Amino acid sequence: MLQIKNFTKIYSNGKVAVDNISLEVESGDIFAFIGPNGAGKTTTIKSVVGINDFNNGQIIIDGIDIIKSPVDCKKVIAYIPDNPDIYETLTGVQYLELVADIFRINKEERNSLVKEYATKLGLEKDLNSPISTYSHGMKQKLVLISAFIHHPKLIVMDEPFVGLDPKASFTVKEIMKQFVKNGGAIFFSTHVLEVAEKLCNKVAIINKGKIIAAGSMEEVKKDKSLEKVFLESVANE
Amino acid sequence: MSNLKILLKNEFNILIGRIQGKKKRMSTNTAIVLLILGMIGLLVLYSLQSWGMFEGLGKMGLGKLCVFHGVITTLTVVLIIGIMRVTGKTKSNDSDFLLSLPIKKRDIIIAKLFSKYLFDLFFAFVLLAPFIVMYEITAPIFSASILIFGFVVIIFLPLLSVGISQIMDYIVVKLFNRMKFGTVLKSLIPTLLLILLMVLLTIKTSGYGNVEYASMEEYFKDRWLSNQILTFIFDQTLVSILTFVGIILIPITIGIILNVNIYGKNFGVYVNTNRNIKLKKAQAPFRHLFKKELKLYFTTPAYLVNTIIGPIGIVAISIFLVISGTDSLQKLLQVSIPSSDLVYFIALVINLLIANTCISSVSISLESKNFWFLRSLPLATSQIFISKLLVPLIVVLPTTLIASALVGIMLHSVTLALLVFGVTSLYLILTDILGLIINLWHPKLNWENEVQVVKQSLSVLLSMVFNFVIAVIPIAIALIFEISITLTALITIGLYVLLLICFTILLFTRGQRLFRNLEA
Repeated sequence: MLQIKNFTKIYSNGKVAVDNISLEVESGDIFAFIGPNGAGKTTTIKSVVGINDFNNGQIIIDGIDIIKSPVDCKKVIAYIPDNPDIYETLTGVQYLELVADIFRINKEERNSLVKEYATKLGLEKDLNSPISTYSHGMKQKLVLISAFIHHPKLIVMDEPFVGLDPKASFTVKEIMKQFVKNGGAIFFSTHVLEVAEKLCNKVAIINKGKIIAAGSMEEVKKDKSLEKVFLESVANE
Repeated sequence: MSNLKILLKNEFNILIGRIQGKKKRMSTNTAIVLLILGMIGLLVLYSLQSWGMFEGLGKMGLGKLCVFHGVITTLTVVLIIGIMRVTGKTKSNDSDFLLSLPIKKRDIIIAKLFSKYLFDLFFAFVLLAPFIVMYEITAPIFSASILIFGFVVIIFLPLLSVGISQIMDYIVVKLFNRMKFGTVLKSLIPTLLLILLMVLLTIKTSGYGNVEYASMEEYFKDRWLSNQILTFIFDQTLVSILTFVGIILIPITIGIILNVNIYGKNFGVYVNTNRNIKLKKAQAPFRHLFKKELKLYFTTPAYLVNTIIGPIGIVAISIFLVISGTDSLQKLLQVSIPSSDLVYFIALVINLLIANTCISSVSISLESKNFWFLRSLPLATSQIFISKLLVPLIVVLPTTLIASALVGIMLHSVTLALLVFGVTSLYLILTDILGLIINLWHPKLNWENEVQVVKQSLSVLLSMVFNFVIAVIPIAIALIFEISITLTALITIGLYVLLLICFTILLFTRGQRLFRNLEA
């Protein structure tokens, strides 16, 4: 579903943010992308979803090259940013309508999907209020709903659990599991290693722009906890 | 629905959302009605102005000159708005979101430019439509083609402003992003361009009142850009049509292409590679606060460019007065009074320029997402207020001092210079405090770019209205009661001192409460 081949991103000031990394996420995978602050997680994610350009390598989504056909790639992706900075002056409904319009979701489907996910995440009473009145967690829930209503094949999430209450966090994890069970793939960054360990079947650890460990969860952590593996890997670099 | 239409609908929803307010939402219809009422109000105002002009010049067969006035005013405003809109930023709050969607970058840019276009269209319509319509009403023969071509200009001229701002944004980003003093230069270049435009306008409109019918065409030809637009409206020749299309299409097309190239990209910033970390000695918190305010002012292009016209105008007018002497001012004002009495008019003009310099009235709004930081500091609210109040004084006070000194030189009187300085500096402090109060009363903490705060916020509009009223009240009293200039000056100072005391008390009592209750 997602292939990152020899990906390198160098900022215009010469700083190498990500250095020649390769990863593969297949259908049915929940792939955790972990690393310390400034390791290159968000830079990679932003290139995967077509926000940032990159210098070398290839990013292929569902068989399509993001550089060659960015619009076609984005049609099958949903992106959930680390900071849900969304239009404060719109209502939740207006925001969801915008996303549904862009992804050509018909009226009946958008209504049923919005109702379904808003009820699951406990946001149905707030959807007609301006987004400016939402808390961080509510904004995060709204962005999550917008991601699930257009049937993406790949969901790319940057710190998706930040700001969510325990109930919503549990619901999101359940939705994620259901999503990959239906053939989707999820690639997400997180600092909550316990969640990554329990939820994901694959993991990659990035530090200073380089992948220092990658593979199935069992391969990477072996008989240790993910936290221990992470701390040891980062300390050895 | 195409992606472009969806994005345009979204921009419209955002615009309406802004009008509806943050939490207490009016219905969409009420917001639209308010918007239309505001437009009608301004339209009536400019219609009256054009009517007055046609009453005088139109009857003398100089109707075309009136339309030319409309064209040159609209063109100037459109260009000024274009320059003022330069932010030197490649990202907006929603750029990551939009770029992650399956939409072409070109469509995103066009939708973003559309809301800017609508804003400029409003000004083009208000400024030019009354002149076109009035020309048709007063002309001996009705010409449908002049009416149509006039409205074509109104519809397409705002694209020039949008195109220019996009091109300038590209140049500023490419040239200055990675320079050490890039942020300052980003503010300085649009400011210099604005000054250049104002100087050009002054030169090109000088002698405007003395245009005779015979020399009218020569007068027009000397003003190339305005003349091309005028020719397009009146002559409609193939050359004029092609020239107009070129004037409009070339900048907007280049602007869109350049913007597609930079939108959402990180161009990097100046990086100091010196790894030797040396912290400076401890300074008083207030000093840091004040430095932060000054830095915010001088490194925010939209903030600086939109508020620097007043101080520049003050210096320019005083230089003009010294060069041309008191006679020219008497001619301009169409009054014949002793030179010493002119002082009050000069002070009034300076005050009116200060009235448009709304620095403190956006200083709270510009904190936006950093507002939590300001609130969390262990500092008295009064210190925060004073640090914000000092910026306008630093920026404007030297110019009033220069103006007063020049007036003193012109009139050979230190006393009169001191009087001008006293009245203008008192007015400056007064409007400074009032601006901060108004901003606390009507803050706009959720915005996408600074232009929305500096140019389109309610606090700026209210500040300008109140500032204007405070500036003209003394003159109104003098005219109504026919009192002497000296007495008017005394009343003005008395009134300003009284208002200053009231506003200061209001700021440090109710203002502090408003500040504490603000929610970012």
